[in-house]
Amino acid sequence: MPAPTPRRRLTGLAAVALLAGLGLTACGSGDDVELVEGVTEQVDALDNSFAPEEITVPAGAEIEFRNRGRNDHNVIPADPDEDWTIEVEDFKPGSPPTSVRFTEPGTYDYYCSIHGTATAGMIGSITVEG
Amino acid sequence: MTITKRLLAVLLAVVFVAAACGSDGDESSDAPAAPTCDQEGTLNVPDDFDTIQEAADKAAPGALVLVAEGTYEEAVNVTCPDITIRGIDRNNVVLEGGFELENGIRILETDGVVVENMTAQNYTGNGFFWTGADGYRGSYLTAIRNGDYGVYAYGSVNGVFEHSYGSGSPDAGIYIGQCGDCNAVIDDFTSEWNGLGYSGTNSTNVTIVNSTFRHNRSGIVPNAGSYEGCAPPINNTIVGNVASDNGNLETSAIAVAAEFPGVGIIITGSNDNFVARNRVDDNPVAGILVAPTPESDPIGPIIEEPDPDCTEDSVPVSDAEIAELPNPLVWHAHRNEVVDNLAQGNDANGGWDIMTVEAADTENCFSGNDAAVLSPADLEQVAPCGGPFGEINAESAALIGLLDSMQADQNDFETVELPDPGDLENMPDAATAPTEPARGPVGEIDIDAIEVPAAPTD
Ligand SMILES: [Cu+2]
Repeated sequence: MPAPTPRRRLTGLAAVALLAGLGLTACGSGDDVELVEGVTEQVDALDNSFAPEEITVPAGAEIEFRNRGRNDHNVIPADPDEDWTIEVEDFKPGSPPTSVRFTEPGTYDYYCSIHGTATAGMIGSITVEG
Repeated sequence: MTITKRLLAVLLAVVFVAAACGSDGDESSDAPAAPTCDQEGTLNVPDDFDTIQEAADKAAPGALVLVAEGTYEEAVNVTCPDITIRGIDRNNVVLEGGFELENGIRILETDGVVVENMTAQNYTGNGFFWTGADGYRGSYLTAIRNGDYGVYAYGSVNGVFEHSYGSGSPDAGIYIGQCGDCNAVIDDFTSEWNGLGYSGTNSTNVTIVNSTFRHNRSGIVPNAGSYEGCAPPINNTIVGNVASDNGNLETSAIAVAAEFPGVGIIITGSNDNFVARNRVDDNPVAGILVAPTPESDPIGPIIEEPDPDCTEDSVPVSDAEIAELPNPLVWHAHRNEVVDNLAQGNDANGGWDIMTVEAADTENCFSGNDAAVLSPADLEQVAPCGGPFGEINAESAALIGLLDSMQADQNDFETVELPDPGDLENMPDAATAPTEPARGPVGEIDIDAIEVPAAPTD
């Protein structure tokens, strides 16, 4: 049994709405999201891998997921209690990047469910530093 | 889309995003028990185990997961090595994806797994899928109407696909890719009504023999791209196949398949392949076409020779380097040998039986083909195998014009009408045949003994 993870609170809706207008989603705890501007890391979905597979970013930094392969992919948190999925429909080859930001330090593992499981195949990891 | 509609879409997305981020999360876990891979002998489904997944998680190396007749709404992940998963009846052991599940049977970074004698249909991803495997075999498999590939090996080496069937996939009925030395054989495979019959990106040393690729947008297509590792593809052997009656615009097709319809065999961005004694009839653009691959938005440069040890994923070069790359990046085809093929009736639509649009210095060669319409017309004189090479007057504009005339909708794989293949051949003695972990092709195929196949009768 994996250890239960603490429940993550809703990010302030206003912030989310603003971010969504920019194609951003914000996840993590805290009503006041401290966004780090000017730091954008890219993760590319290729066929069938994420590159780079591991990145480290400061809390609040923008991470852009891009599908630069030729096939469908998705981005699913390995921890089922996290909920920052990028669905296939929103992540078609060549479509605009989808951004996420984590405001809470920690390790966020993820995978593509078409080409991997939480532990094997098309997997990746984001380390968020405080 | 009007601005109002776009705004509405954004607002709906906001609601979705907000809900998605606010997971309360059921903190209990329904995670399945870890695989034990420790039960030897025959594991019967459903008599001993309710699901294929439960049995596959228990099976020890050499064990047989034997699946009784029935429909199984499962997406099976295999992580126990050297096991065999076998249906008792190919046509009546059916894995059903219901357009919800992603892959029928997926072998993940696990070696030696055999899957045989069953059907997988209606998966959103793939029917049968090996990734990161050393040693694999799929035999007597039927893959119908799956949303990506029918039978699929990726970053895997030492494999065999044989006596199998794939239809109704928008990418390809069968695919082997990203392997610097795949050491793989495709033998007696029928692939029809797909985007591509066979696709292999960056696959080296794949032998495709005695197989049929028909009624796809295009038939056999080894190809190159920086978006997968192990570029470029080289040294594939394509002998004794039927690649006829492609150019079927009713199939579902991903974009690249829809862009290059109507060809039996396309040797594109691929080097040192041997294409011999195939029957390539009645394709509306070309029977056999040797051409460059124009890769849009590349993430890495041209590579001349693949690393023979490669099964590794592609890693993009820096954005600054990407900005310096040509776009499209053109992977040329070099030193391919196209000999003794029977290519007829590919000109009814204004196309060609055998065509190259590569320059002479690529040293692709053409000899002994039984073909009426060559492009350029003096192809076998200016580019004979053994040389010397003269000037090639490529009819590139005419090719592009013909391809343009055949652009059509990509179509939805879920709803395209497909032919009923009928009852397909079962493996012998499914109930009792011994198991053998997959280690790669067994014995040498006598390529020289393979003749041009007869025309299909159905
Ligand atoms: Cu994927």
